[in-house]
Amino acid sequence: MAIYKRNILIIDDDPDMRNYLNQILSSSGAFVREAESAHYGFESIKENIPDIILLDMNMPGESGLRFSARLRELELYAKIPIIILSQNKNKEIIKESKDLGIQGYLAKPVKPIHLKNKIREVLKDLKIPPSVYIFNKSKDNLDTQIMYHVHGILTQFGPKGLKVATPIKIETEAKLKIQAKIIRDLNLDQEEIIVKSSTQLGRAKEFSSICEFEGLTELQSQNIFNCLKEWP
Amino acid sequence: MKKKVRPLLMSVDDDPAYNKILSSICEKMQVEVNISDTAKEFVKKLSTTTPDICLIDINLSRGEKVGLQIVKFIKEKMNKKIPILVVSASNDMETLNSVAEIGADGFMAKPIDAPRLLSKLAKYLPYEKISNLETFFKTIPSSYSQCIVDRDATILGMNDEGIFLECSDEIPIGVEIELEGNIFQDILGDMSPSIKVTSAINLIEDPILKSKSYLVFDQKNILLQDSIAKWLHQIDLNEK
Repeated sequence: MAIYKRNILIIDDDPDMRNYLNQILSSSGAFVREAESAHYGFESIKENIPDIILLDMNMPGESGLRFSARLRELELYAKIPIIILSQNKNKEIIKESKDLGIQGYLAKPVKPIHLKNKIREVLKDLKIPPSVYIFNKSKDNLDTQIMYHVHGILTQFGPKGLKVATPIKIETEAKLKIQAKIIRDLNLDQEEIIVKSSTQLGRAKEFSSICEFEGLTELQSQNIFNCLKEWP
Repeated sequence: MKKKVRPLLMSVDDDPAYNKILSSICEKMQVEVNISDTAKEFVKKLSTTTPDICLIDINLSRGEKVGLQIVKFIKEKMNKKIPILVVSASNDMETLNSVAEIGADGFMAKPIDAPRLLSKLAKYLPYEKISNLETFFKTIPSSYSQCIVDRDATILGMNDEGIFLECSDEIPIGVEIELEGNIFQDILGDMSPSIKVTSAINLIEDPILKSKSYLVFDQKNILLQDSIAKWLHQIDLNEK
């Protein structure tokens, strides 16, 4: 699950720790807010409900666990995912946090990769819809044209074209290229292939497309023909 | 438009069921066919017509192997270089030997079916004669069958979990595809410019029937997810 554009609230009394976590997550495109205590954390939540809370276990005043327990009792905030960060890897605390329905537990010092993984894991379980960066061709000046490759099985070959089975349904009249040994052997790898029809076979992810080579010369067709002759 | 050249096949067989099947197969394949029931009729037609290939039943006239006599007659007396295939339900050594002895070009076992006839046409007819046959396809040996299909698409949007594509194909949920483009070199730097994705949702969008597919990255590829998140963040910063 994406971290990009997630609202993440960090509640920790240590400013260096907050800064460290903030930098890791901001660089991944998250919107990060910080709070230095449970009290300010709660104020921040009331203002804007975060997608996830990173919560320090040991803070002066209200501890992380007590704060979680309080949130869990409030209907509006009970479902916000929480990841507890703690110095002590105490089995009892882990059990207690699980009982409170806390989704994650991380021991300090936290490695960036572990932090992001844990966040992604927690968000994935909750199936929160992802936020997507929408490319704007004129503004972004990005090359958004790409090519995609899918594995297929060539089933039949003829002097005019071929049949190919793929897990995707290819649009009729679409132009495509096929990489295969037989096509390379026949020097046809530069030729464009046009899909004449694509039909679903028995199973769900199996489609068969009848395709024709475009503008094949007599000589090329002849070569295919000679090759076919040698097959059993 | 140039008229399509169709191969002409002449056949002689006294079995009406076989003749019916042969006729329907030829029609489907767009092969012109001229069928005779008797040896006499066949030879008469052959004196005025030059077919591209002949199929001759070996057991014409109740097992007297008249077929072989016709083959012999054509090969010795008629000055026509026509490929001749002997057709028979029995393919024992005796039959095959006599076919070879008599000078027939080949043998075709009964029952007849389209692929069998096609393979014979492919073997004995010149290319020009069969290139226009609609159904001329041959099964690819399995050692040759693996392939990769390349298609174009446009990226609509992205996050560190997945990518929205605009493409005209339907990519069912769970199908793995590999993306390749300059943009990935931008994002990944020196790393491989292609990435693996799995289709998560598929929406068909009318009226132009272009589908928008949301595909997710390999969840184990943390480096990729991180690179994309950082890259997108950089775009956001540049905008501000």
